[in-house]
Amino acid sequence: MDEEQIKAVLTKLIADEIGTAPGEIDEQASFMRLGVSSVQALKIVNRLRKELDMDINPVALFEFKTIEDISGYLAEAFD
Amino acid sequence: MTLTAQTANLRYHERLKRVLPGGVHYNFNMPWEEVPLHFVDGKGSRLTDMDGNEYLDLYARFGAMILGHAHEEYLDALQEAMGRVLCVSHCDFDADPLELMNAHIPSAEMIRFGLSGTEILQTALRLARAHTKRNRFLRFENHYHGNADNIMGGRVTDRRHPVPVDFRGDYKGTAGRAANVMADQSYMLPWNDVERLEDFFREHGETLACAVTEPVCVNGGSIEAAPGYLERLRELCTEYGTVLIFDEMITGVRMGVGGAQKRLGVTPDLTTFGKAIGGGGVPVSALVGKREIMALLESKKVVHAGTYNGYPLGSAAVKATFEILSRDDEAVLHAMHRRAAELQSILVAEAAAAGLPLIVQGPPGVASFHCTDTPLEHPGQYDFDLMSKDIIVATALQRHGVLISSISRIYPNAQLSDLDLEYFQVHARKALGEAERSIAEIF
Repeated sequence: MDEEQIKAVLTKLIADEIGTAPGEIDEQASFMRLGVSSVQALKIVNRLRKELDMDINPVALFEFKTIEDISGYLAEAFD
Repeated sequence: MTLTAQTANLRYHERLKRVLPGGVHYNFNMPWEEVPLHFVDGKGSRLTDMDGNEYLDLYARFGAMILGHAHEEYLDALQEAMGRVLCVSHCDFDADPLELMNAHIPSAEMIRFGLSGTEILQTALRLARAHTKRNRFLRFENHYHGNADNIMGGRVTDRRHPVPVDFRGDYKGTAGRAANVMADQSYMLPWNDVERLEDFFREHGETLACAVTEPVCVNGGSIEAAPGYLERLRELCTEYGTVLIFDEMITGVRMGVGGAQKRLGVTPDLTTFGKAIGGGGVPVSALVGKREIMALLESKKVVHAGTYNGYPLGSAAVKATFEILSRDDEAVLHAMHRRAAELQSILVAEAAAAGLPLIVQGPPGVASFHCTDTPLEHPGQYDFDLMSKDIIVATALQRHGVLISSISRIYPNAQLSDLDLEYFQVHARKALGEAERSIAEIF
């Protein structure tokens, strides 16, 4: 799965969690700016790691704070 | 009651970000720091942020703030030092702190001061290489020894050749690392596995300059060494002529003025200290060790340099810290440990009342909580689910005015009081109820 595909999955998960359309999500905005709390972010990443079947360190979530950053991080980890 | 809005704090953070990358001076963000909190006042165990919110500080700046905020005797010592002489290469402040460290720390036959843990650990590696005339060092998974290129992050991909290598997506990895610097210099093993350790030494011991370990793996979740593990590591190092280095950045002083090594009865050849030895107000690190190894610094065969090494204010801070903590058979530390143990009992009891499995492990002073029924035996057990649950509890505590160090470390200070314990009970109860609901929703 490449970075764009991961970005699409992540955007959809976030949109579902905060009850909006994926098209409304700004990929460069931080989770906090999107209104995603740390608990919601963990919930999203938990779903994401199951969907991607990969090991993600939850601490990474707090190092990479936007959809774009996290997707880049995961795409590299996926490589 | 959750905290009031972070309006002033947010505004200040936005101002900072224009000139400060990320709005912070370091890259390992705290899980609870969606926006870093900026504090305006500290007294004892309490901090006040820019919006007037109060916190119980169990974060203690990664454990450095051992004396508590605005400790009167400590501040008096610093002020006296500042009034005398600030910036000279040599002064009359050195002998007292050095003799105190020498008296209390088993491995401290000789001592050199530095500024940061990262740089002093690199000096320890250099000394070990010079002493043994060997190149490679051994470190352990999930331990942390600073942010230098050769020792941060990485993983072993081939267990038969346990050399750490970069992997894409390592959150402790970094762009810009010198090529092959880990693979050329080091090995990495899982900790607390004595069989793997013995096999490794049989194969590589004779070419190994040193082995470096935290005596308690605080960075991996406050996991204590399995019975006999550190003793066996000591034996193997002696047998193969390998220098044993304890990294006591966190355990040093927090577990006692003699460090973890005195408590555990295992004496390394070299030890690195930092964080709390300067009391929490000024940076000081220290490299201590056996005379025959430290003599390489005296003969100038090994270089250790730094403009501020042994600076007067730092030496005064170490002296004050050791005097305060060692007085009356370490009475202050014993009281701190007793209150820390009480605080930990409150946390466990309140978690049970909230229906949340939670244990606290590790020596008081460097303990961590984990949302599980059973203590971790090795750092590899700290998986996504457990780490996530711990983060949820830590963030809930922060929302309710209790700061925890990463990921779930509880760092008490010398001024932790009964009133602080009462505060903790009230705030932890609310936080744990909230955390239990969040965890139930996710897992």
